[in-house]
Amino acid sequence: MLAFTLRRLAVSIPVVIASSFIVFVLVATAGGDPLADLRLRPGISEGTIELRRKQLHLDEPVLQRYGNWATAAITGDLGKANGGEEVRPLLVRRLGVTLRLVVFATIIAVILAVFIGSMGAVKQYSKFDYTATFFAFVFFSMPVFWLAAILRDVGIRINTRIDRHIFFVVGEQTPGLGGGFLNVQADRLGHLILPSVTLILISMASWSRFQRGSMLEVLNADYIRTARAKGVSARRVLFRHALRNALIPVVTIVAIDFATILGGAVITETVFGWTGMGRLLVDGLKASDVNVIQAWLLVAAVLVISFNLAADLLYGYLDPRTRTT
Amino acid sequence: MVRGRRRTALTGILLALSMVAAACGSSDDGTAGGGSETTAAKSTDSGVKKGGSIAYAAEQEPTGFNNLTSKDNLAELRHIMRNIWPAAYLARPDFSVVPTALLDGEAKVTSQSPFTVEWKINKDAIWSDDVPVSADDFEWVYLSCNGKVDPGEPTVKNDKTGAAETGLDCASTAGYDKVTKFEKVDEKTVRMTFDEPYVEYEGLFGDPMPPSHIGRPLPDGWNTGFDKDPMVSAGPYKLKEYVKGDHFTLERNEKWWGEKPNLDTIVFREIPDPATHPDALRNDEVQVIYPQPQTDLLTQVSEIPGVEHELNFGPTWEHLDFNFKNPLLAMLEVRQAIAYGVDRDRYVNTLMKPFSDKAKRLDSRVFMSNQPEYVAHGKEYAVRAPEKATAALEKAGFTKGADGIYAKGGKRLSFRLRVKSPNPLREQMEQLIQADLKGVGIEIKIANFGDPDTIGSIGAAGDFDLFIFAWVGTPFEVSAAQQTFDTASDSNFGKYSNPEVDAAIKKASTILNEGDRADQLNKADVLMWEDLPNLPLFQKPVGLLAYKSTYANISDNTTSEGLFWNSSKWGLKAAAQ
Repeated sequence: MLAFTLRRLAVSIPVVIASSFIVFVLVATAGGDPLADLRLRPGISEGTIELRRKQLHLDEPVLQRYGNWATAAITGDLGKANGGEEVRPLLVRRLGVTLRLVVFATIIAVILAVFIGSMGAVKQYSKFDYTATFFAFVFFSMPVFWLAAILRDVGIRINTRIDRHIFFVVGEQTPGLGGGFLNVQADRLGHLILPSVTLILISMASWSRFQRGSMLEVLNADYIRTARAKGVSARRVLFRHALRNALIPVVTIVAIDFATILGGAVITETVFGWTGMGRLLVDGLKASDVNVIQAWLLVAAVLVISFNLAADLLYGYLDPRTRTT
Repeated sequence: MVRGRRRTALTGILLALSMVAAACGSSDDGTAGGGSETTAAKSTDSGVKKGGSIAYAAEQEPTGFNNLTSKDNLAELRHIMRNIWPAAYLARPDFSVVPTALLDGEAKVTSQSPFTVEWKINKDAIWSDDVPVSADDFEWVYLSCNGKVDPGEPTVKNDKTGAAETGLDCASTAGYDKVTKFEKVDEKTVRMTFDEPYVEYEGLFGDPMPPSHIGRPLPDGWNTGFDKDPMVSAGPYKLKEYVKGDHFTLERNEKWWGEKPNLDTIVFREIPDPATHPDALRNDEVQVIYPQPQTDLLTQVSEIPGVEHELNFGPTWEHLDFNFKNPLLAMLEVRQAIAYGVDRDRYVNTLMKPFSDKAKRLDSRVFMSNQPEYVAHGKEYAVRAPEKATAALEKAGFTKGADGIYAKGGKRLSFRLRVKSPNPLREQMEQLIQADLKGVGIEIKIANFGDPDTIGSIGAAGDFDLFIFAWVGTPFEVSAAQQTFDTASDSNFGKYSNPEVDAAIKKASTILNEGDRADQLNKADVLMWEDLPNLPLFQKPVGLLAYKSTYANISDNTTSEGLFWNSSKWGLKAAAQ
């Protein structure tokens, strides 16, 4: 297992290097000029523009810039954003925001999706199944921004009705809030509810359908019929034999989706005013900020690789036949 | 003393910033007054109690605190720093300029030849660490922004010229680069001598100035010394808390020598998407917002109970630019035909009237319609006149083709019209212009662009035939006119050139008397209406100001100052909880 893991990681390194090179060159040569606005300003001296050009290393050839960036990145130095801010702390901060938002939501969404999908399969064509299917399709087909906007409106109406602040619609916390640890945590939870519910509903909708389909397939498999014929208890058949195998496809989907969401739940972050990874990427692209985009790419690439690896390892756990030695 | 008709001031940075901001369609044109003006604002303190807090929805996160560097030259940073660091002048909503509490009276012209100006610093002006605000602070700004390599300054080599240039990053050297002599007369007095009359001297030291006693001893103090912290305050507020990526909190500066602010704290919450601002206001998570106006935001805000809102047409003006590099557009008759062929009033009615009935057509390139110096020189093109358009074309030898489009020598009048998208307002305007000009035999092909291209990059490359964007008119009309229309200006995207206009604007830049200067600029505008370097369309509202009605004295300032121009006077109404 260890050798497999190391081998997979080793294979991933060229992928990260190649993708970072391609993205660097694309961004650096795409035509966006980080100094375009600066050049427009009257009174800006040539010297100032030259200074900024040098500060951002725009005076160097692209390959040299990439080389410098890569050399520094290996040591953990991700350079500075166009605005002069160190990229590494910026990245850590943004990733922290996104993690807070999506980890909780993903855990809840997975639990609900597995439960609802499995129940729907076990009680196929029941009222529960039809209801779950209906809502899954509703949330699956609903644009994220629309769902988020509706939830935001509902939250505000509830607050207004009860004349209390239970739901918050922007940001991660109320600035400067006092009142002790519990009060601060309650406030953070209040900020987390609506964006989390948005992500949960959207993610759960698709994952529950995968789970239902997978579970149905497994429940109709010969070995399940055999287990039942041998007198294995229904509970044991369901959890030990069916659910475990049915989780394998869902694990793949969740792993890939989770890595993607960690790269930035752009719409949810935007609607609820969270400044996470998604916002970082959008801002970086707008500003042609190659260091920011590179940093985002590194994180996204590492996340995708890591979660794909985690999915592979989980296969081995869920299905011993797939274990590699 | 407040001179009634003085143009609004603040430095060329302000001008620069506002122009770029408008050009880019962002909201970079606000700033913070910090309540630091010496003369009473239009708002009063009656019925306002001391104490309380207010949260503002800010779209931008500061990159650092030295707003005078190009790196940190962001509008909302100005909002913050206006309350923290001292500035010499404040532009008021009526476009007049007043010295702030930093000065002991106005800057005075002490000599016409050589042109010399003296600034006296308020004797009570003091930083929050008890160090007096002094001539040293002014000197540091001057040395950093004069564009020259002063002794001891870091340098960079200019790859093009090979020369060593200053390594200090200053957003604008305008005005400072004309200074031939800087003198510290005493601790509280500075004097500057200019190489020629510099009539916009009030713009100098008009931006929040960093503390020299903190910054100068630091290595690279000017460029990066305030990246993480403004360190000290000499304004009505000081920084209490900064959670990067989330919010700033300002609290009263007890060492502030001016009018004490009413509110205990002002919180700047970073909420990047303006579409979320109305709901944040509705949910009382912020109490004041100032997003770029959009009709849906206006509708949302007007439906929130307990919220006041106002929307004023500011100095941001939309215009249709012609590229003189295009041989067809270089012909006056073609530009005239376009000017006659478009229906500017219809654009105003369609696009601006939904915001406010106050919207109207703009007929000047040098003054805004809400300035007393404004003269509508463009009345010739006030009403759409297709017959005049076609007559102009036929007079120039164009004939109408079978496809209804005029042509001459095989060259059809077919032009690319560009805007930066997404921008629903300008895109709708394009459609209207396209339809109008088709009616006079001119074909318009819409060819918009998006990120990563900017208005600046497309404009500088001259990659357009017709181009719609906006400039911000400022109190520095002379600088603005020079930047936009002077033959040598990089921002003269259409490459319009008329030596007479250049000379007229240049002459205005030497006239101290404001009335005479305005007359001179208006003469230049008359010349330009004969040339049609571009076609002014209309002014736009700058920001949609909305705030909880439990607060008083919050009002818009459509100059580049923005809504924080009088924040010291903001407060909870006496009856409010």
